[in-house]
Amino acid sequence: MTPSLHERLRDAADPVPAPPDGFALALRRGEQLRRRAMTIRLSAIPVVLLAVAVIAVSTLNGSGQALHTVGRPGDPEAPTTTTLAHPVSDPRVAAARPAVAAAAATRRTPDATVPPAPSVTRPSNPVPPLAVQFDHPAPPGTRIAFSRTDGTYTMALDGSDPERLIAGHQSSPLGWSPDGTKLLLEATDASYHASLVSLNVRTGQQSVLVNDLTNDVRGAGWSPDGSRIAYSLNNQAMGTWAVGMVNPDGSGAHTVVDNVGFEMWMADSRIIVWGSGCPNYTCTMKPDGSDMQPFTLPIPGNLLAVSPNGEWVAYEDPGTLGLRLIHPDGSGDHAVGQTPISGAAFTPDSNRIVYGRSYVSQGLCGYPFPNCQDQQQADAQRAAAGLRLAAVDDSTETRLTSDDSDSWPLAPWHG
Amino acid sequence: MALGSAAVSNGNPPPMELAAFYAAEFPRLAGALTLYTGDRELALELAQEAMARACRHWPRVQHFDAPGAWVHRVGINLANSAFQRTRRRLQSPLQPLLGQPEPAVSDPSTALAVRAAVARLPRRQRSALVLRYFVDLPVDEVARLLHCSPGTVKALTFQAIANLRRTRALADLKETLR
Repeated sequence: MTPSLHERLRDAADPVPAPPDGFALALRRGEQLRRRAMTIRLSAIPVVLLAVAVIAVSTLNGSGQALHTVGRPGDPEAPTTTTLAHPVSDPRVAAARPAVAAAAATRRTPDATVPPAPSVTRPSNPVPPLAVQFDHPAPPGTRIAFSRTDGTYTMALDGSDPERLIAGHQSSPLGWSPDGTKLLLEATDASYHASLVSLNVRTGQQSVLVNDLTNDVRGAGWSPDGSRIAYSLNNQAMGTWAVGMVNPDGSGAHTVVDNVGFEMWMADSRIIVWGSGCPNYTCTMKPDGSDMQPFTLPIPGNLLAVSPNGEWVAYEDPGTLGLRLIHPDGSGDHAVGQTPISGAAFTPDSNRIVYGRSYVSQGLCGYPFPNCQDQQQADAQRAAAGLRLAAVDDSTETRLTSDDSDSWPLAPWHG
Repeated sequence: MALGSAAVSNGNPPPMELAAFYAAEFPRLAGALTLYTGDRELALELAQEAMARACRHWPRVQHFDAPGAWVHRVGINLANSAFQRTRRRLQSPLQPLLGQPEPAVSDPSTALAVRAAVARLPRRQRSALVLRYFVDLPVDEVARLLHCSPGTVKALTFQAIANLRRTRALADLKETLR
């Protein structure tokens, strides 16, 4: 019998017991660290006092510049390290969106913004409602959706008009409906079970499409005509995958083909899968699971996105961790944008691609410790992180956000 | 109650919870870092240093929801710092070895070959895989440690498994994404 991944990792790790004198040595080293930190703090006191004095003097002289935080006004959960290319605190944007102030004011008590109970199509297997927050209806078909540590957002393709739909990180966007009014979400509950939810971004109405307790939902994609949704199911106990199909109202859920699945798209009324069970790890099939065939030649990295017109495939270069595009027939392989990345999705016209320039935490800088050893590297990574919009030929690139948290972007299916 | 390094500096005995924490977490942490770095000796050093950080900050760490998860994240961060400072065999985490040929291993099914395959994964995938499948942390906890969403954790672990299956050592690996 083939050993499981867990067993192989355990054998490879070859754990050893704690050394007999290890605890005493750790305590001694901890004490050294504590004394060193104390010394650093004491030596910093004169510098801090001097800085305070300078600020005080400049303020008395009227030349002090007010410190400000960037983010959505009145949003207590928005991280102050996050800035957007066109922040809504910009008076021009605020003027164009009078509803923002009122909506933001209600966010001071997030619980009060939770809309009425969602419409659950399968009451026998209820899913806790996602805490949706709205400012105003989103223009259809012109926005990207992405998840961050603090929530799921939508944003215009020029980086303006960001809107947090859902607070917290219990959901990830998977795909837009063709008319741009609904967003497919992978919603994770307290027991880490993932269900497939359709969220109307205009009304806030949620529908649980697939919530099978024995299976976890992963990739999903809307058919171009909006009549069907394909998704991947993972049997957590067995570790097997299946492709399923469901109607947009949650009815008619059924398994199309077993032992195939992970990420999922639909184009030209065919299902495209990147994952196990496919030759070359990518395959395409009819909505009924028949006519399965390879979608691409072997790709050296993990597939991230398929363009709506089916002409381009985006994948992660395993060497550089950068973004590369390639035609399904293996031609036109080229790099796009900067490295490393964290997800990608094409725009509806297939001419551009949104990708996340990844922030990778360095050293202990991301943790509540004063003794950060790689602050410069961490700062550089943070400064470069965020969502970017690049032409598929890599001729142009626009930075959409400056964001030090992880992003997993997703473009609208059709404009 | 005197705790952690404060207790040591006062000449008091260290708290029993900290000793138990060390005994319980060190083996798991050393194993996880062995997988993460592919280097047993380096892993033991890093595990010891991470546990020292836990001792140093124990008054705070003991109140965390998951002190074990915290010390694993510290260990991985220390490993990342070690890669950058010393340019050890694995080089920078931003230059993973997947693009390079697999090392010659006489028996690809051995633990050493598996260890090498895991160590050659891109860093984020490696972190997610080790924390999820070796340390056995729940998806949500891994997401919190990696500053990403649970969906991203699943994607990273799936990508890691896909990459592992491309190696000879784990070509017969069955899908076990949980």
